[in-house]
Amino acid sequence: MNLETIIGLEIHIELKTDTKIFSSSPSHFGAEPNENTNAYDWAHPGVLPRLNKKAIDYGLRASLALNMDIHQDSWFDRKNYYYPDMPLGYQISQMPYPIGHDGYVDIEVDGKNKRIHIERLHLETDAGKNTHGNNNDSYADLNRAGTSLIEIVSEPDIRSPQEAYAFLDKVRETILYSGVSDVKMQEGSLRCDANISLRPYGQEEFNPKSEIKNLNSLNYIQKALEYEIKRQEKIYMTGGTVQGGTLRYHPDTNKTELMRAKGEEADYRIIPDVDIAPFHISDEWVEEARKALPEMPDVLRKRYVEEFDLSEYDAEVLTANRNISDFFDETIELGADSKQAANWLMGDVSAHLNETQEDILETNFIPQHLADMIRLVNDGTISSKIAKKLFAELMADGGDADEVVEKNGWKQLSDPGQLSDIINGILDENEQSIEDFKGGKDRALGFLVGQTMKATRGQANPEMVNKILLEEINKR
Amino acid sequence: MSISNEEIKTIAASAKLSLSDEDVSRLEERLAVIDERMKRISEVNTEGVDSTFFGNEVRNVFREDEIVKSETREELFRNVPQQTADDFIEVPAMIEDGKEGA
Amino acid sequence: MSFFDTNIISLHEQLVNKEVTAVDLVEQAFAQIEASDGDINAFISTNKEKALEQAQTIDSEGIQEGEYLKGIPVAVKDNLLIKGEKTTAGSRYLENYEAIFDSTAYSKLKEAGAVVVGKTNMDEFAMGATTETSYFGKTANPWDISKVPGGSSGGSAASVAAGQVPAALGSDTGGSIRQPASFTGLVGMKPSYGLVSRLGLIAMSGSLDTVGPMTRTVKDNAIVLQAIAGYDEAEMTSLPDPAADYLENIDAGVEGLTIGIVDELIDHEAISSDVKELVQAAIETLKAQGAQIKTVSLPHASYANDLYALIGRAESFTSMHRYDGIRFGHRAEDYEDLESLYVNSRTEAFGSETKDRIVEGAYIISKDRIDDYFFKAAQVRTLLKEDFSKAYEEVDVIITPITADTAHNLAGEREDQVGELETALAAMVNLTGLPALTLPIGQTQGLPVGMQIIGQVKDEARLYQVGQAFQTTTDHHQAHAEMNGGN
Repeated sequence: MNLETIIGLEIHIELKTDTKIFSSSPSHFGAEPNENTNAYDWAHPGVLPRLNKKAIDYGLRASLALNMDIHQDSWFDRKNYYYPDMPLGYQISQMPYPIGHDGYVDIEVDGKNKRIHIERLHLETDAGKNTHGNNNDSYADLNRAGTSLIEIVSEPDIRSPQEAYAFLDKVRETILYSGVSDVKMQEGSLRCDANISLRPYGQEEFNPKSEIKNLNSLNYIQKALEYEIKRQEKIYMTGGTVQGGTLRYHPDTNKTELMRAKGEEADYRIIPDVDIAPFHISDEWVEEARKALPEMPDVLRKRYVEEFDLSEYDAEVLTANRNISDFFDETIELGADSKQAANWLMGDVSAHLNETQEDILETNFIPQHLADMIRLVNDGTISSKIAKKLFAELMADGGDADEVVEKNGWKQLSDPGQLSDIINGILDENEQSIEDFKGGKDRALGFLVGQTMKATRGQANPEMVNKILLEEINKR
Repeated sequence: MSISNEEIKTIAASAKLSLSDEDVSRLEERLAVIDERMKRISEVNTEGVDSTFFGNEVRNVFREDEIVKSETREELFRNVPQQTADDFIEVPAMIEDGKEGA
Repeated sequence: MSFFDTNIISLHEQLVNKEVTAVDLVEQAFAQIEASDGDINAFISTNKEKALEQAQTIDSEGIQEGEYLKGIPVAVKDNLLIKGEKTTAGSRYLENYEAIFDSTAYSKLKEAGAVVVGKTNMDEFAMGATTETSYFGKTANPWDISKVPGGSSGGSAASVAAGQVPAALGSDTGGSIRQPASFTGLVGMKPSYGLVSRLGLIAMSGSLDTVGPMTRTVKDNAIVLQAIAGYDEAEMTSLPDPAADYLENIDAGVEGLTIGIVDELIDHEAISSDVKELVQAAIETLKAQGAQIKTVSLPHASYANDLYALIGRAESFTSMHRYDGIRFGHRAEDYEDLESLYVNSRTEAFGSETKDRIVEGAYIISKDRIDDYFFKAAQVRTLLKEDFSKAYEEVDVIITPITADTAHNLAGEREDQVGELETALAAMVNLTGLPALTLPIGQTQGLPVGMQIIGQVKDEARLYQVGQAFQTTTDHHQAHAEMNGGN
């Protein structure tokens, strides 16, 4: 029995606005229960919503980043249902006119490229949080209630758990790059539900589907889908029918469990929210949002590989974080060599950031510093060893690279006249080494180089030293 | 479009209301009137007519993304019936965590 | 003891001339309330101590010429929040609810120096036209205490009509200011949608709700509207301009004004002949003052009550979920789980009219009906709007009756056809967001009759001009109920 897997994903992402979408309460994580709430969040009688412009702007950016068309005229709707974490008794969402529609991302699985289409992206309110107590009680915290969310719904184009993984990863990375959310799955700012059904190849209609909710990591999503495929396959193969319903995935047992059988689909009785005046997003606003978007990671990676001849691996590392790729771009713009800049960023810079757990923007190190460091090494002013010292100092205290080199007397000694004097002095005191070298012991040269470096406190230009040593030795 | 008592009760339940038999028979009549209203307007030719949902023509109203503190937690908890804590809102147990909807 | 022989302007002069103090006026209000409210039951709650305190502060501050509302006692419908005070919406559900922020309308009244003496009775959640669905008992019409005062702003109407206060705020979603004003001989203004902020107004139907003043004279009404109108950033649907100056040209008269008359409405068979006569006479009065009369047509007005029910109930259904027994308001004592907490709290604490309207709303927008019942209504609403727009190409204002007959008996019934027409006459204005003023135009069988003047959006100043022109040449507004024990 040849069954085709049909998967669609619904992704909820918290926007990193300072305030909620319809109230001026703080939107950040981690406050005391119900501290970030007001009368509107509690749905007191007589309250009215106020639309956060930034939420619209971020929704717009996210839509553009996902290659979507924009519904420039829109409003909000009331989606009615009862739950203690939704005090109004309705979620505010965008039903007929989601801000973004008909978009896509391109993914790569097993070397093959595929385009996954996105049906819609709309803005909506998040619910609060409930925690269960011991004695048949639950506890509602409305801090999260009303936080700005975007909901992204894919078309059912996904055909395997690997594709699902790749799609979600791509969306996550794209949204991260667009700057509208931190998309931290572990903190809940990105949540994903997966819909999955199987059908015989050639069948047009979809069979009943399972909805697997609240999958907390990319790995879990893939595993949960793999399990569910096997589970459903078994049912079809023994001649049964899949019931459909809402499932939860248990990572410890790697199984899915039925939460709610597919009953009557809830009737949300969706009507426009008349307290929220409709809005028009002008062409100018769309253009500004488009301009504000950085190059998306895959385009960026392609450019790094083609234009700067970086390896694909290097390109991946550099684009894992938008701030690093921005830094890289700016350093190149200042004239630095791309390979060297890449090496620094992936090497010493990353190591430092990993240790201090900082983001590059939080440090004193700026693209100008990196460009200067590379220049100073390339034109022989400093040695590579000194460059590491310079990096540490710039990272710690900022400043101007040339001035720091000057202040510390770190300039490489490259003057042939000065160097020959010093070298001749060394040679005068080390006749035996000259003999040894002439006798075939190459190590003796290393020793003499070492002595020269010592005499110059490491600042002699190593290539020059080698050159002049050989010259002088040959003269003797 | 006649409606059964069962359906009336189901609709009421979706609004978290329970109806007595008296309520149900009263509503039967009232919903019949609602049906008549629907029938009356169904005769109006609305081809190509836009919908009016909102009370006026005001559009494009936004606020800046700035935190404004208004009611305190104490004020908010003041009206909560039968509350023992002053941080979480206590309710009878729910089946699951998180939204039932989307 | 009553305020019948005065109005806000004359009281203001007395205050400025120190012939009377703000404290005196508050005492006067409470004396009249004490004398009459046993029979009338206009108030759900009063706060004499607080009112006197405010009056004392005002007296020590002094009142400047032009600060018309400063020191004037007023009443506020109990669906407008006053922080720290109980706000009940006439419902058991909110019986003990203490508001935690001020409605904008109240804040503005307070800023203007008005002294609120109490919260007035209303149909539960504004869902009614007689004030009989209130959890806090019925209100009687001061003109005849066996009659209804109208609703849902019946308490506000009765309070002014009983001479307890010179002005009160009501709300109007489908006639709830205008109809009680008409039944009690008052001037009532339903402003343009969005003119007076809805922040702190307990919602009934969000795209129809408005807040407005009820007074005995047109000028008083203009003074109160002046104070409470104007852009509020807290409401997204607020009209963007500050309040206009409603007094500036109020005496301009009606010379050159074109008044539209809708034949099907003026001559409707449901209207009593007495009312028809009074409306005709009123129109003649305005004609004699220089107004032109023109016939206009509002072809979709006959659907107004249908639209009002289909749209209004649906919106109400969504606004009422929040009363769930959890964060404020009535919580049932008996429940086993979340579901029964919701159901028992709501079922116990809502009256039958409220429950019925919620169920109707749920019915109207249920999956299989929403297209034919709700979305279709939204389209017909557009046609009604276009009717008015077309009419206003020909005329400046439109005059219609507002009530088809005088107030009926408490615990009685209003004839179906009469009720249908009255709701349509009122609701067609809410559905289109327009302003409308009702004026007393006389009495029949000892009970007042009103007339409605509908304007274009934001044209309240013109409505007041028409009303003022009428009131300078007639004296119907000076008539008042005969109060036992009062004057």
